[in-house]
Amino acid sequence: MTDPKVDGLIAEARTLRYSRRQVMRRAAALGLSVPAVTAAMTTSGYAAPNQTRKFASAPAFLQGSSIHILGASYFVVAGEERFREQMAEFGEQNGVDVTLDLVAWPDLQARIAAAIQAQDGVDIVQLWDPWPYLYAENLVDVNDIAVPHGEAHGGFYDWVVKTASVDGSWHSIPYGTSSSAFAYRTSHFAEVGYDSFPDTWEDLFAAGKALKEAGLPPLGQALGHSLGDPPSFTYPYMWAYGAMEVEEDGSTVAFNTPEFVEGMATFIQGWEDAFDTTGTAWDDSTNNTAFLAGELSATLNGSSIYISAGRPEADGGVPEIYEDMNHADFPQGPAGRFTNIGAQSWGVTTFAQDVDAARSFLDFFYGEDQLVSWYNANGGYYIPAASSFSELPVYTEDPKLAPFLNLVNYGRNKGFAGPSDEAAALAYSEYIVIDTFARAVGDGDAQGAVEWGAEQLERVYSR
Amino acid sequence: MSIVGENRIWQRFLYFYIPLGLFVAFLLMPFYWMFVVSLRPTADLLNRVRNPFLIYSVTLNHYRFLFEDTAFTTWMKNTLIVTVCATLLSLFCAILIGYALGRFQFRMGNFLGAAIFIAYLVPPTLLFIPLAQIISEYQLYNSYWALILTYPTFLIPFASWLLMGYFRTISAELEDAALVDGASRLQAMRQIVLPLAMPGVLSAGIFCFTLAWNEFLYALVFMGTAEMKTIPVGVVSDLIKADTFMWGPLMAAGILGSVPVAIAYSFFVDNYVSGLTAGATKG
Repeated sequence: MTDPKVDGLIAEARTLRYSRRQVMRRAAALGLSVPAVTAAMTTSGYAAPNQTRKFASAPAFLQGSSIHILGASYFVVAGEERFREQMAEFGEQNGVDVTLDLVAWPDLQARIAAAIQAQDGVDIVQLWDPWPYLYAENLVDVNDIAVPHGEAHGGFYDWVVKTASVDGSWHSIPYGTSSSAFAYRTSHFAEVGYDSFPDTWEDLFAAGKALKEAGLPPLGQALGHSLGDPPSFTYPYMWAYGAMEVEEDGSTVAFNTPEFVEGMATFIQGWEDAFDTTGTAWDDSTNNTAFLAGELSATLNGSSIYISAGRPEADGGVPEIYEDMNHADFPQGPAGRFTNIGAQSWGVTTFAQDVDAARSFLDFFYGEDQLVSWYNANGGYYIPAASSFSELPVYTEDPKLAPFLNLVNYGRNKGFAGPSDEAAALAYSEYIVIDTFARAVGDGDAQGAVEWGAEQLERVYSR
Repeated sequence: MSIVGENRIWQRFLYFYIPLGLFVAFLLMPFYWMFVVSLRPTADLLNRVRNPFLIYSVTLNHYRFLFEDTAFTTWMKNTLIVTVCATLLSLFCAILIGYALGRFQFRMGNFLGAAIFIAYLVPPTLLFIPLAQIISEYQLYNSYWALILTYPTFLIPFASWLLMGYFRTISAELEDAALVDGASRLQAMRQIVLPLAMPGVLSAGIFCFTLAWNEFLYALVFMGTAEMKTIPVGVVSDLIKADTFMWGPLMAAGILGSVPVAIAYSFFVDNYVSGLTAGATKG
């Protein structure tokens, strides 16, 4: 008795004139056993175009292969467990040995750089924005998987296209991102007269000042050399006050503007009035710990604080904060409301041991059922890359997480208004925008800090 | 009426015991903090009311998590194998280099000494990319050899310099006497100079052990799979989840990871100190 799914695949292959390899990849994506499909193909007499050979036995083009995956450590344990299950499922079905190596995400680039130099060691790699630009030459073209996947799910968001595709071509397949919104204590803000989170940056600073004056915990923001929270704050603030790293041409620096200098002066005052000023030495984890310890009234962060607070007390959960906290959109400035958002994706290296096996795994992982189960396991931690996934219950059933989905409507890429290219990546990794803010609050000279930042950006973008 | 010696006791407290006590407290503070955090329940760690330096209730859950839910014992084993092998290999090379540079006068000798020192100044962040290529070409990736052979790139220069200085403090006449008595150069080195240089060798060994034990970057990029991680890499990759740190298990790992280094120091501390100060008064 044949499996209706296998029959369906054979029919699909006949209609769309799939090659044998395409059939196998599709089989893997549908979660079908490759030997079963090849056997059915032989029985049905199917031969792909330009092929005369019929399979006497399973060709098993994947069997015996191995895939080594490199990614960042998971925040949500269930998400990692689900991914490992998917690896095992794919491996069992196709006789492929799939292994996973997880490292802390700031260490990913060192691993990728070494693997590229050695042309060895990694078959599938997780990429954060704007890395696809940096490593495009060492990544296999995956347009044939990414394009249909995006089209089948309402299309990729604009911010995804800008940060994960390279000049319109896909060298990795995006799944979304873990981005930031303001986590805040509703009771603290209510105590100083704010029933909802302030809608402008200046209002936020005023609220923070009121919190401090009332003896309540202040606002908290990392401005140290960290790749997560500091850029999540500084880039949107820069855009909200009319500045950008560069114009649309990707090389004309548009950082030193009178509006931004004025905005920076406002921030310097706000920092003193409303924030915990030790934030210049914070990294990505400090605000999480401080918020969960009740030492902050608001901070910019991913949903990790909320998810941590909701855990059982024995595991570090803090029920009273979980109940009291909420999330809010980024405040707006004179130029509008913005956030920095960039897609994360999976790519196959050109030096993979078996490129076909690695591509097949991605085809399998991005199959609708698989990807949805992975999004669900992550409990809404990742904003999806394609619009139709945003309607999943995991994203809509908890109203406190709604602001994270709103980010897709006003997100900009690093390097905006230019592309998220190598120069944008360099400016990001040199912390230029972040250091501009840190200098400003350090010496109180808004004009001097912005001029310094503009000089640094000129150097980077004129290369 | 004053008692003889009263002043001296008071002065000893003021100028010796109190500064020493403060210094010891300062040095041991990180260990005390690690110890306290590793024993406090997670919920307690975020409690603002309780004194963070005191333990109100003890839990071994963080240690249990480390041994049951992570591959900590494997990380420990890997670290030990790599560290011991790299230290022995580096010491062997450094003894030969240090002896040659410290004892012989030959052309380019000073230049070689300076070159070795400069090699020590090249940061691993520059070296790891070309080294990755070499590791790949020799197919050593994800094996102990990848680290055993790369750690000496920063261990040998340091140990050689330390030993070069130490060998110079040992009188050449002792060795000459051995040569006159019929010993070969190698015999003289092994039987006369090395025993005298043992404090210096132990100092170099302890330094090599500590540097290799704590090394992060090479272990991160040259060891690809979970079962080959060392403690510094395993702790960061498995106990830091995105922007959330698992402080209890992290501190427990910090305490357990410090133990072998502390043991190494405590066994050889006397030799270590004399090794470091050798030649300090040589005119």
